[in-house]
Formats: sequence, C-alpha cells, structure tokens
Amino acid sequence: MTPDRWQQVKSILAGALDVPATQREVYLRDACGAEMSLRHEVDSLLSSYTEAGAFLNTQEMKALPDPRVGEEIGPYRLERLLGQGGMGAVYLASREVDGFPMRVALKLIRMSVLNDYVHRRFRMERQILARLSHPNITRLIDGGIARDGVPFLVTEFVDGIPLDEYVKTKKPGLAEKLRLLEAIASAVAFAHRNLIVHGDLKPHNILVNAEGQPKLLDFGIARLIDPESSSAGEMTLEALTPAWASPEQLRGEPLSPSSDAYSLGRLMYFLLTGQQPFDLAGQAPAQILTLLSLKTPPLPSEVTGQAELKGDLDNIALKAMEFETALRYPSVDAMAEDLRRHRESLPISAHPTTASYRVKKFVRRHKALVLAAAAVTLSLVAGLGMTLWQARLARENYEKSQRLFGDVRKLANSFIFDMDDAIAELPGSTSVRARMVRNAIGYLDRLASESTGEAQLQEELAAAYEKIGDVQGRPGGANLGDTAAALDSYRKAEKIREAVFDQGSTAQRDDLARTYLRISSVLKAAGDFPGSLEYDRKALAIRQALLELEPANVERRRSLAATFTALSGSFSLMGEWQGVLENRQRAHAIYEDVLRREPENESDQRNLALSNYRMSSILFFQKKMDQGLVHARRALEIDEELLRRHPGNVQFQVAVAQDHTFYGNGLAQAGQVQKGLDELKIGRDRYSRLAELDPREVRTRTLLATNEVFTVRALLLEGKSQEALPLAQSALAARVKLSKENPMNAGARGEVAESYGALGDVWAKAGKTAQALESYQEAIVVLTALEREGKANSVSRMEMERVREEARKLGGAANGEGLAARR
Amino acid sequence: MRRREKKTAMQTPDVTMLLDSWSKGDQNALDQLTPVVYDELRRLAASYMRRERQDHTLQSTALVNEAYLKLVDQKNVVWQNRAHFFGIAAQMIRRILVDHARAHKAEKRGGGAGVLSLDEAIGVPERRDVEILSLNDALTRLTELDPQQGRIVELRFFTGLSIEETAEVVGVSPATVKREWASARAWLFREISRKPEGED
Repeated sequence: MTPDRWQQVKSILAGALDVPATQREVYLRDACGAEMSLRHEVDSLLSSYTEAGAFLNTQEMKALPDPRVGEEIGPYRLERLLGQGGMGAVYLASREVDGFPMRVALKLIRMSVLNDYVHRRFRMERQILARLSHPNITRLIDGGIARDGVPFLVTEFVDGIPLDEYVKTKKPGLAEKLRLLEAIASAVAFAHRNLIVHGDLKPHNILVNAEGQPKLLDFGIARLIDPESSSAGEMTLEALTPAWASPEQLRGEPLSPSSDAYSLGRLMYFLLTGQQPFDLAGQAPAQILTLLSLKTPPLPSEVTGQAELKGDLDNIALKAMEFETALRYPSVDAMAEDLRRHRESLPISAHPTTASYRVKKFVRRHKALVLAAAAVTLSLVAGLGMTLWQARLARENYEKSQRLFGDVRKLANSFIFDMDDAIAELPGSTSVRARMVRNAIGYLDRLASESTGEAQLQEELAAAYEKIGDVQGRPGGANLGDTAAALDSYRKAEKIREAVFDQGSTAQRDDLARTYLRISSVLKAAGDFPGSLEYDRKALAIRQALLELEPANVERRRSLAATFTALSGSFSLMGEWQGVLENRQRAHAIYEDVLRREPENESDQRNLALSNYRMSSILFFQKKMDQGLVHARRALEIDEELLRRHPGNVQFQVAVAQDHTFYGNGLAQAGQVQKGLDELKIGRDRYSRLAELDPREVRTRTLLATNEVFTVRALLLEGKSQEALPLAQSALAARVKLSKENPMNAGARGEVAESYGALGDVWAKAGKTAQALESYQEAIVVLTALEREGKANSVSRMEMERVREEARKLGGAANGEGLAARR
Repeated sequence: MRRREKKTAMQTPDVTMLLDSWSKGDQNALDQLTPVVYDELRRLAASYMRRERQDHTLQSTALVNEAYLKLVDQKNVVWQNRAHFFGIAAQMIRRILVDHARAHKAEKRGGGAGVLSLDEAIGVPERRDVEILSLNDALTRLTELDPQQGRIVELRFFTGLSIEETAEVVGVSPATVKREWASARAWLFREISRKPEGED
C-alpha cells in the first residue's frame, strides 16, 4: 500500500465508523464508488476493527498505584491519591488532632530548586493565603517542605466532585447554574479585594460538595508556585491549562484580576452551554491566542437553542470573555453585579457587540489589508450571483484570513487584482464592480487612517487605491464613469507612493510613474491639459531614468512607450500636432522593436495595434490619408487575429469594432465612401451587441456614439441626410446621457457639442435651416461654457469655429452669447 | 539535602536546555538526551520495584511523568518541549519493551537466569512478548505509511497517554487522534493477525 492510498482508505474507514451500522452500506457504496479493490480493503479493515476488540486499549485507564501512599509528610499521613496535574499530585491525608483524625488535602508541588529566599517567600505567601477565609474558597491550612525536599500545601478537604462532572451528572437547571456562578464570582471578587488572584480558574479546579456549595481549589497557588516573579504574579504556561487561560496569560503577561474575570466568563460559558466556545484541545498557546483574537464565541443561546439565554446572559458571558481587557468587565464585582441584576430582572451593563463594532476592533488590532480584501471578495462573490450572503461564510473568511495571515494577504490581493481583471472582461459585470468599489473604498480609507506606516501595507494600500480608481473611472478601460472619484483615489495612491519614492526600489519608482499616468489620464478626461501634460512629463522623467538603469529590460521599454503615448495624448488635446506625431512615432518604434524581440507576445501585439491606430489618427488629421489608411488597416488586421484566438474577450471585441469604425471613417474621408460605410456598419453592429450585454458600461456606448457620428459624416458626403438623421439623433441622445452621468468629464461634453454640430449638418443638408440653426446654437452653448471654464480642447475649439462658420453660411446670427441671453 | 541536588545536577546534563536545543533542530542534543531519559526511566522503575509492589503493574504514563518532572526544570521549560519529551519517552519505552521481549524469548530458548527488570515493572506479561515484537514490526510499517499516525500509536500504547494528552503532544485535535487511533488499531490488528504467532 502506498501512503496516498492509505490516506484514502483511512478516511473512508473513519467515515464508515462514524455512521450508524445501518447506514454503513450506503455510505461505503457512495465513498468507494465502483472501485472494488478500495471497497475490499475498507471491508477487510472494518472486520479487523470489530475483531480487534480492546486490542492495544488495555493499558489505558489502569488505576495508578502510588508508592507514596502510607508515607508521612510532616504530621500528615498520605491516605490515597486524589488526582495528579501539571503542578503535582494531590493526596487525601489525615492528621490526628486531639485524638481525632482530621481529613485534609495535601498537595505535593513539583519544584526544582528551593533557595532560602524562595523558601522565605513561600512561607510568607502561605500565611497570606491562610487568611483567605471565604465559604467558597478551600482554606489553606498548612504547608512546608517534605523530607525529600518537595514543598507541599495542605488545604481543607472537600468531599465533592469537580464542576464539570457535576454539570454532566447532576444536570443542574439554569437557576442552579447561575447560583453556582454567582457564588464562584463572589469568592473570586473576595480574593481580589485581598489582592490575591487565582490564575487558573477552570471547572476542574472547582469542587461542588454534597450541599451543592462550590469550593475553589488552588487559590493563589499560581503565585506560590513561582514566588520569584513580580508581585502581580507570573506563571509558566507549563503549569496552567492553555485551553482555559486568558489571552494575557497565553501571551505570558503577569496575572491580573482581569485575567480571572476572563476565566470566569469562560466558566459561565461552560455552565450555560456545557462546552468551550471553541475546540481548543491539542492546540498550542500561540494557536489558541490567534483563535481567540479572531473568533467571536457563538452565542450561548444559539449553541444551546435556549431562548432564555438570549439577551442578558449571552451579553454577560461574551462581555466577560472579550479578547481585549478594556472591553471586559472592569472587575469581577461588576460582573457579579450584572449577574445579580439579571436575577432581579434589572437592566444590565453589558451590551451586545455589534458586527460593525467587531470589524472596527479587528481592523484596529491588525491593520491588515487582508480584511479589506476579504470584504471585497465577499461582496464580489455575493454580486456574482450567489443569492445568499451568508454571515457565516463571512465570519469563516475572516478567521481564515487571520490564521494564514501572509498567505491570505496574497490571496486577498489577488482577489482585488486578478479577480477584477477577470471580471472586467466579462460582459455584464459593471454592477458587481460598483458594489465592490463601494465596500472597498470604505475599508481602505479606514485602514489608511489607522495604518502606522508599515511599508508592505503602504504599498498594498497604494496599489489598492489605484486599482479602485481604475474601476471607478479610468478612461479607456471598462469603468463606472466616475472621473472625480477616480482622481480622488489616484491622488491617495500618489501621496503614499511619493512618500517612499526616495528610498524606494525601481519597482516602486515605476509604480509612482504609473500612478502619475493614471492621474494624467483622468485630468485629460476632466479637461485639465496643462495638468495632464505635467503629469505625463513627470512619469516620462522617471521612466527614462529607469530604462537607463536597465537598458536591456523589455518591460521598461514598454513602459516608456506607454509614457510617450500618454504625452502625445496631452499634446493632442492641446492642439500641438507636431508633438503628437513625434511622440506617437517614438512609441510606435519602441512597440515594433519589442514585438520583434517577442513576436508571440499578445499584449505587445495589442499594443502595436493601438499604436497603429494612433498613428492613423494623427495622419488622418493631417490629411495624410494614404499613410493613415495603412496604419488603420494594420491595426484592424492585428486585432482581428487576436479576436480569432480569443473570441469571448470583450477587450478584443471592442478593439475590432473600433478598428472597423476608424478604418471606415478614414476610407470615407479619403473618398471611398461606400467602402467606408460598410466598415462603419460592421463596427456599429459589433458595438450594439456589446452595449446590449452590459448597458451600464460606458466605453462601448461612447464608442458607439463616435461610430454614429462618423457614419453621419460619411452619409452626408453622399447627401444621404434621411439615413443620417436617426443616427445623429441617437448619437446625441447617448452622449447627452453619458455626459449627465459624469458631469466632470469635459471630453463627454465636447462630444455632446460635436453631436449637435453633426445634427445641425444633417438638418442643413436636408434643407431644414431653422432646425439646423437651432442645433448649431446648442453646440455653441456647450462649447462656450467649456471655453469659459478653461476646459475646451483643441478639437472643441475647432468645432466651435466650424459650427459658427456653418451657421453663418445658413444666414443665422448664431452666437453663444445671444442664444444664452434669449434663453 | 541541597548538597545532594547539586550533585545530581552536575552528573546529568541540563535536560531542559537540551530539549530546547533539540526543538530548535539540534540533533546532537537528542543524542545527549536519549541516554539521560533512558537512565532516568530505568532508575525510577527500579525505585518503584524496591517498594515491592509487584502486585501492581506500573503505568508507563506515571513513569514518564515522573521522569519528566525530575529531569526538566518546570520554571524554564517552554510548553512545546513537553511534547518533545513525551515523544522521546514513547520511543524509549517502546525500545525497552522490544528489547526485553527479544531477550525474554532468547532466554526461554536458551535458558539463563531471569532478572526482573524495567519491562516487568512496566507490567508487560510474558504472553505479550510475541505480541510486542510483531506489533513493533507492524508499527514500523505503519510509520512508513503515515509517520504521524505511527507516532500517535507510540504515544498511546507505549506511554499510555489518553486521547486528549496525545492530542496535546502531537498538536492535533482529540477528534483526529480518536480517528487515527481507531484506523491504526484496525490496520495493526490485521497486520498482526496475518502472521502466525511466534514468527519473528
């Protein structure tokens, strides 16, 4: 058998032993499937299991004989062993007092070294404990050092059973349990008033005697055990029970009353539910600590299904068990008071901790991006069509993130990044992304405000802001069309990245350049061209310096090309056509060079297609139609090949539609009108299909309107105003709507004006002078407003000239001022 | 009294420190630890024997516990080292039992004066000699298939640790130990039953 096979067999075997015998056959048939050899193996082991009987089990549970029984320690004679724990063994012992035997409990304490100082302290502490007289505390009677050097303590003997056993066997009712708890709390509070903490409260350390009175054992033992430590007392983990210890104790911090208060909360939880809040058995203190920091204990009322625990009792238990001391009861007295008030049906001080409060606390404690990411992930999952948002699932994800902190941070990042990239290219994903963004921004802002400068976190924050900005409104990408919000997010990323730039790695420097370009792109959309040019130049400076550091690095070349392209965009918007051409040529040369190095790289192919497209655009503009058509044709060929390889990819679908549109427009402008109209039609049909798939997506609608305007112009070249009219109207309606959705986008307003202009042209061609003039005047109103706000770009200024000219030709005294005044 | 302790301390290497080094990956520490733990187990067993309580079998758990408390400085030991200690002790007890079973078998074949020793104190009746040896072989094979499961059997059987204690030492949940223990028993029983008794 191989180890893998054994794991498989073992797991089926364990499952078979778990199900009732009557269901075993069904289970096995299901688990083994058609694999006969597997089934044989499991059957054979099952019969072995039955035959084995108590095989190997015989050694367990044999009564431990004890060699010390009968021994005399001081005036005490050991009668029998009562129990054994990490700290030592406890015996029933007796001593003759005035001729009568007095029964006591004698504990032999394991302690390696006793020097004189420790010895003195030990005696002193014992005396303090001996004064601790309370009906629910087993009194310390005596103590000393046995002949063989073992220290011992003598306490009153309680003939009772441990609390956990009492609960199991006697099954006390709720009122009885609460009475026990109040008695225990009052004993602990009493000790605290005497400046003594217990440090190891757990059901096993509490005996319930025949009268039903709880008695606390081992009070102050913790302090005795390690008397060298500070007065507050410390205890090695060895001695205490990690599963019941408070977070402070697990961290190795000094004992405190607050730590007892926590343990009391755990006791209460145990009394109410009969179990621990979590399965802590077998876990190391560090694991337990992590678990406690993460998990909110399930409410006792939910665990037990008892409605009477709902409210007060749930709240008291959970408040007592809060992970952070500041959130717990300030003292055991305060908890006892709440218990009393509950008994008397008075309002209590504990309030439920709300989910949002928990989240806040969690974020404050860990400052981890994980959380933000996990939340994003969840909203994403929910949005993707899982109709049930399961709170349970949410909680489990939180836990998981914490437990595997490093891994999950990575995982979570990949959810923000990879997932979004994947979703962005799925049709119909916009509403999911909008929801995702709302959640993410909230978490990120909180995280940023609480972050204390951890480098890794800072970097992740910046990356997350940038990504969110993209989703909000990165022009040219699938986005939600919110330019203002996108700029806001990018600026946050910029601020973080500039702070680390000087000490930053090359990757971090490049990151800042990328952020600059993001800002530039939204500034372009917002009509701030000097601003965008400035940011393009800042990015260019960084990237040129980086390429000089690594001249052979292809990635750096690509980045530099992208930066030249961005720069050409700013020049274009400013009407600096020479700058446009030069920078596009630089970029184009780099893309061709890069693709020669890696001909199969699809992303480089796409870049080259785009570069061809941009080249054609500037060449058309400069009326170099033949050269422009070569580039436009080339772009179309590359993108069609990419789409052929990836038919479902939205990006390529859009690209091909765009190429047809652009090539068609070029052809029409070059005089091949019918051929151009055919190309435009192909592009339009493709856009329409894409827009139907995701009606909220901005990019396709923008591009469709562009196609319609191009088509209108081509049709007008042939004098087909009838055909052009519906297209002109449709483009106008779409652009008005787009502009209203995103008022900050100056480019969109310019396009509204352009559509009015195109509609005016249609009317003019159709001989409807009044309508034509009206449309031109609308165009002028929009363009004048843009001009006044300083947001007019070169194209809109030229359009203004053109529209005024056309209007003049029609004989109208159209100008923006006059029209605006009339309205 | 104090003098005696000092002497002991000089004779035995610092087990607490060795445990610590070993848990940090120092294999030399294990080599030094093994004889110390082995000797202590034997010494303790002998002292139990002197009390002439042959009517009782001595639980190996108690033995290991006792050795642990004697050898390890409770104040300075970290929690995890206890697991390491029990891990060594389990192997040790296993070795002691197997050695004894082999010797006992040889003795029966070849004669020689029997000396009551540790293994008898641990309470393994003679009839189990063969069982112990074939169990030892089977357990070795199981350990090859699944090291953790082998370790669980070692701890449960050879030091008599409870489900919960074993879980604590191995660092898994009691439920896991329970499952592993059940399937291990089935597997081991089958392995042992397949062999005719007496075959080594």
